[in-house]
Amino acid sequence: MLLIVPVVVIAVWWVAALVANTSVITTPPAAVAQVIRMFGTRQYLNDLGATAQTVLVAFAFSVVLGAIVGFALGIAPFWMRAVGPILNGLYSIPKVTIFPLFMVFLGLGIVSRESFAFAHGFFPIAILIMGATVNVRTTDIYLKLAASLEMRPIQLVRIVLLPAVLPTFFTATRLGFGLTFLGTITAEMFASNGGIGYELVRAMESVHVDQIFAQVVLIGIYALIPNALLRWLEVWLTNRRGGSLA
Amino acid sequence: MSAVTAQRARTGIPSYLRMVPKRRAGLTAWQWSLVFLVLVCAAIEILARSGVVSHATLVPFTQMVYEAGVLLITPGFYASALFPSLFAIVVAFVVASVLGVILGYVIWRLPAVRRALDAYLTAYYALPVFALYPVLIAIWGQGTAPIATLAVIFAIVTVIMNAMNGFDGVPSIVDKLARSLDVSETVYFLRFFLPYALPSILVGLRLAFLYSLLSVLSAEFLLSTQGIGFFISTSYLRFQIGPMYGAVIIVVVIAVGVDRLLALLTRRVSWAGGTA
Repeated sequence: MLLIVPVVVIAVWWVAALVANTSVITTPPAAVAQVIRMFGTRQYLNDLGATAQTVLVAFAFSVVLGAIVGFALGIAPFWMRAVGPILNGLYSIPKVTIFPLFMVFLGLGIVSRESFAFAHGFFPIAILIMGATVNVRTTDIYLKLAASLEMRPIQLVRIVLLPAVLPTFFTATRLGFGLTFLGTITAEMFASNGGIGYELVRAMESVHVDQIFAQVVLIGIYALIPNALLRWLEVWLTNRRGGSLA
Repeated sequence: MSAVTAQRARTGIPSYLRMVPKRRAGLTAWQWSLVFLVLVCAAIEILARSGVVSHATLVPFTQMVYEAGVLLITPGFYASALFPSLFAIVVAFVVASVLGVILGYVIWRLPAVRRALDAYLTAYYALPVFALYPVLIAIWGQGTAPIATLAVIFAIVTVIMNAMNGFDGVPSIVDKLARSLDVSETVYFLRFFLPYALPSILVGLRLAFLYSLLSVLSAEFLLSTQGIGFFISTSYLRFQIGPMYGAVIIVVVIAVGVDRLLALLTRRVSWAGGTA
């Protein structure tokens, strides 16, 4: 069942490649051959390492900072109402437009790429967690129960709020990874310096179609694997806690 | 005494259960938002004018607005930058919205198809879809077609997912009411079904607009000869950061403006007290 979609996609791709000119679209086997060839080169492995480093650093920062900021705003509804719209506004700005600003302030190196990717992941994570935290507050029964048990605010956070926010935290993490990865590839495509995105741009400019398709397939796989891993982590944690994260 | 402190004096209610204050330091939440925005603009102004940040890096806020104004009265900017981008964005948005709602409805009506696609739809936005941009250029050549197509591909999935979410949320009683009133299919869809699904659909549309904007600008930045993305890119490369900031301001205003508009529209339409 799960394999139907990839099979259909590959079939459509193959047919399109045969119908169109193979100098425009390569066939799947040719792309796979190119993939194997690419992994043999030192250059590609270096780029892969650079991209992986950028993604992981940016992802870690955006998850930690996003969760902290989102949670802090969620438990202070007044400040949520003050700062929330600003976060939403910043989220709606396409970061691509301010990409030159990152290059202007932080240069062309890995730090500016990491910051750019961080900006992609931070806002949605913060907004999602902020929304989830505030939701618990509006479910009065939890708070009233805590008050009747004479819980201090710290205990409320530890016993009620954090477990209630945990499912959303996982969803936000998965979303954040996807966006951070997207931001990294984007940054590498624009500020050509190193990394998978840079390889893709080089293939684009030399219209090396085999390379392009191989890169696209690989990037797709790189994006899907962590997504699946994070999902399994969530499922495993849920089962360990007895079927519910709350 | 304010209501909050009176409450605290009266009872032993813990802090997390007390009323949320309407004002802090005399300002409402909305006024605090304005304060933060003004502070940021003032900071940019001061940092740029004082020379703490070099003139090749940061431009005073007032100058940014001035540059934006200059660009807006230059006919060349409209022809070569603003209109091509807006055209691509609007076309992509409309196509993604209409096609997305239709496809969402079709998939929603076919549970087997939905089950097969579900895992992939939720993982879709992990894929850097615009890595396909070079392929589209190879097929269509340079111009608006590959850009708009890419934006549609990028935006359509969120419309589909949110539309299906909306259709899920229509209570079964609506169907029974319609049947008891014996209405036609079209009337049922337009007058009974759609109003319930509309808030979620609008959430999807809002995201679709943002994603169209993002795709179009990214594509123009990367490999194009016209559009705002291209303008920002070339301004940066020519060290003309004044016009660059001006164009950035224009994009920010468009993005935030349309987003707020759609958010307001969503709230107006959320008559059933739904999420949005």
